[in-house]
Amino acid sequence: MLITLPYVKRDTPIHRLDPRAKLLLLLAYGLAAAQTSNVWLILAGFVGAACYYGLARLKWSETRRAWLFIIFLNVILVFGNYFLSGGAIVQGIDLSHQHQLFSLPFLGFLNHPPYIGPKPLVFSVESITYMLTMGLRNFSIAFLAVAIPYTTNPGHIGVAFKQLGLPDQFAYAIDLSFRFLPTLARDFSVTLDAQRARGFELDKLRGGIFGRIARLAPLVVPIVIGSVVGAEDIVNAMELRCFGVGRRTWLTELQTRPVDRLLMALAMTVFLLVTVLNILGNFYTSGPLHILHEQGLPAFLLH
Amino acid sequence: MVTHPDNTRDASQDAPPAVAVKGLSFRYRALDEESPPAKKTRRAVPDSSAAGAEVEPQYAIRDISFSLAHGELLLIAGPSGCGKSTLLKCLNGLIPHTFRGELSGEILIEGRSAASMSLRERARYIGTMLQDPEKQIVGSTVEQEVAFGLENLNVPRAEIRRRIEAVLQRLHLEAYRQEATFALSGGQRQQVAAAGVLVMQPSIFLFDEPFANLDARAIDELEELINGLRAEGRAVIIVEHRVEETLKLRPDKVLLMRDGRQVFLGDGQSFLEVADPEQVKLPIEATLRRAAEPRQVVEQLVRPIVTRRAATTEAGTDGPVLVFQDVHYRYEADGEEILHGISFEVRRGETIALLGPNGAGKTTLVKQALGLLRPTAGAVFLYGEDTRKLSVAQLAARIGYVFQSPSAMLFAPTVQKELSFGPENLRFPPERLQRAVQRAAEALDVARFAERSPLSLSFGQQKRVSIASVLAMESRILLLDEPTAGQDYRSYISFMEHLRELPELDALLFITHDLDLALRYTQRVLLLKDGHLVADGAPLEVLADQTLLESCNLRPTSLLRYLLTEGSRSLA
Repeated sequence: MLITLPYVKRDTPIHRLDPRAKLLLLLAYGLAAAQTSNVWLILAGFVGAACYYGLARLKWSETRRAWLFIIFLNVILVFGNYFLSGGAIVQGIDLSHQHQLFSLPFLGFLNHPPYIGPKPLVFSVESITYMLTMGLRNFSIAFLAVAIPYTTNPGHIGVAFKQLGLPDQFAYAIDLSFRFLPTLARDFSVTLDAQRARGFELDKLRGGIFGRIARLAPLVVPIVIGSVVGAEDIVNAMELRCFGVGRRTWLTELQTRPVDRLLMALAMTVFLLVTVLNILGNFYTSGPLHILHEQGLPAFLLH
Repeated sequence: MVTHPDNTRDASQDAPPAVAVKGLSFRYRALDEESPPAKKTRRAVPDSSAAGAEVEPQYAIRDISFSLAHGELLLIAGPSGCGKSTLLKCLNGLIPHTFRGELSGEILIEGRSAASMSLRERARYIGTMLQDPEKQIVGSTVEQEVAFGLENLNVPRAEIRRRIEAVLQRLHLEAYRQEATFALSGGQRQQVAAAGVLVMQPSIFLFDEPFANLDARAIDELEELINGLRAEGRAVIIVEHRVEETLKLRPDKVLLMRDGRQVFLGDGQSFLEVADPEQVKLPIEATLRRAAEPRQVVEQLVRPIVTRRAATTEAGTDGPVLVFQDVHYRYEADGEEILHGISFEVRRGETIALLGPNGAGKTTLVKQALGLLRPTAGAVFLYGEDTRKLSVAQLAARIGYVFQSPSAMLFAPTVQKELSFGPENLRFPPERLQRAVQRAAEALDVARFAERSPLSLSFGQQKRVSIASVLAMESRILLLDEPTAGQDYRSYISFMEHLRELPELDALLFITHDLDLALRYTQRVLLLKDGHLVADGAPLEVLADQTLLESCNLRPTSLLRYLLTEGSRSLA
């Protein structure tokens, strides 16, 4: 049996939203936000997403684990990206005239063999702003994403995908995979405890990086084998009750309210608008139609 | 339009039996036979054809025949690996639908040949309860779980609702309708899994080892369910090695299997006369009736383990080895308290059973000793040392804890390496390591598959490997979580006897549901309920209290009743 997502039963506007609206909002916003690095637009998105998350009235104690993981991931992504690219890869924005503040000696990609070598790591107004933008973007997407598992009745996930137009078996597979992660987390903690009882210490792994990975076998092997065997059991249990023999009914039927439809329309509009602007921005080098391709830094920062 | 074989009670006298099996044999296809023959001829490896041709795969079941009328109960008994599960798969259609192999003989379901039925058709007649309800439940809420089968059959919503309503009512589950399935207790899970099958209204019910791991209340509920099914005229087939529990249901027929063949088919009474009490667990009366010297048999059965070191060092010369001092525990600072001030001492040489209903906090309690969980208030002392000052690894060197499920910990390519893992973590010098591993392997009789992969072993063997791999760390105290769960009677008795012979152990403590295990092998019983220690004493003393047993969902076994009456008789 699979464990469901950490749903927190509560009556808030976000809890009442149709899961389809929440999913669509996440998808549309994510795709829109990926198309710009304009700090003002991303900031607006961040504020909007934060308000949305605030409406869900989730407590820190309930979501702590998810957020710690997201913060960890985001820090790795943002800094990793910065150090790897020297802050030079900015979506659609011309960085040929950077306002450099200082630079540090560092490694970077070269355009001749051996392709990696010493290169100064530039800190400029643009690159630092970009780093912030990236962080804001990731967190705004996280606000929308984290709200979903905590505010959606786990029984409504599969049917939401079904009613978004996916075939029965796909929709059910998504339902199952949504529950796979929390189940994996439980198995992980059981195995970790079992191995700790045999003197295994995760924080004292010896050896180089590969040695360390090899020493994770006591955790990885039981979990992987367990998942494979578990999957087989699930398949058998489902087949014994005729899963996949033909069309199926879904007991739950989601019904949209006007507010759901409004939100979905809004999400789609924003996405389409941003996409059109993004395309048009390639033809105009300045002005409001070029806005997605600018960082939008105020002039005083650049002097 | 959905039809279902409802009202099976009305079946007239000359109606065909619910199930008839004639000369059924099956063998799983060996791996290299999987590939189509055309490919085989093209294979370039020279000696593979020579090697592949000769070893015929063993029959998993051979020549099984029985028939079962509506309203009858059939018990299929036999040790692990005797083919019980394979037979069940043949009946419910997973063979040949999912598991391929060579199937011969005939199965008639409601007079129709099963061979011509699709899985979907079969599911209308046969409902299967898998051994572990955890593996059966796919829905995330109770309602969805019960609806699942009907949804798959494309039954209209209104009809599904009506039938769910009826089934939930019948099994007294209405209050749980919107509950998440994973949050249910073990017994409730079983009921919910049953509801999910019952709602499809099959006329034949298969139960795969339903009594494993249930506490007494859950067993009572399950018995009520099974009796209800029979009264409605449904045929019930139970596969179980806990024969004692099933015999209480008065099966109409018992089929005993060994090595894939049926060695007995008859009624419950004559089964008791032929069954071997060494192989299957029979009610004590049946065992005694067959014995020449009843008293001797009981003496043989009830022999508490006295851990070895007690015999060599003088018992009682030094303090207790493990002390729980007013231990409180809650998982989260603002969460519910799980343990409410538990205090007890474990002395050298003791063997203790920790009993209690599902969810009483037994595992949570045991984990405190090892530092896997730390008391929120109170303290645990190990050999006089406060465990708060020690890391889990340091504690693990002194106290061994074996988890319930071996699959949670087995990972190494060979049993030998599996056993060395713990001692290596504790940095044993090579000589000591080798000696410790060898001793542990011998103590649990796993030395003969030292070079095999632990993952290729049977469940019982894996269980022994998991214990050996903790024992190899030479800890002086051993904690076992459900050491006998999932093993058949004979292997668990031989396993307990292995424990008896373990060298150099100060104390042994195990969590169990099995009262007989506590009676036969321990000197002391701790009874835990809702996070309180409600009783602590000699097994017969603690278990004599009927009301206490009942409140802890423990059900007296035939052995307990016998010992109690014997005890009062000898007093008189």
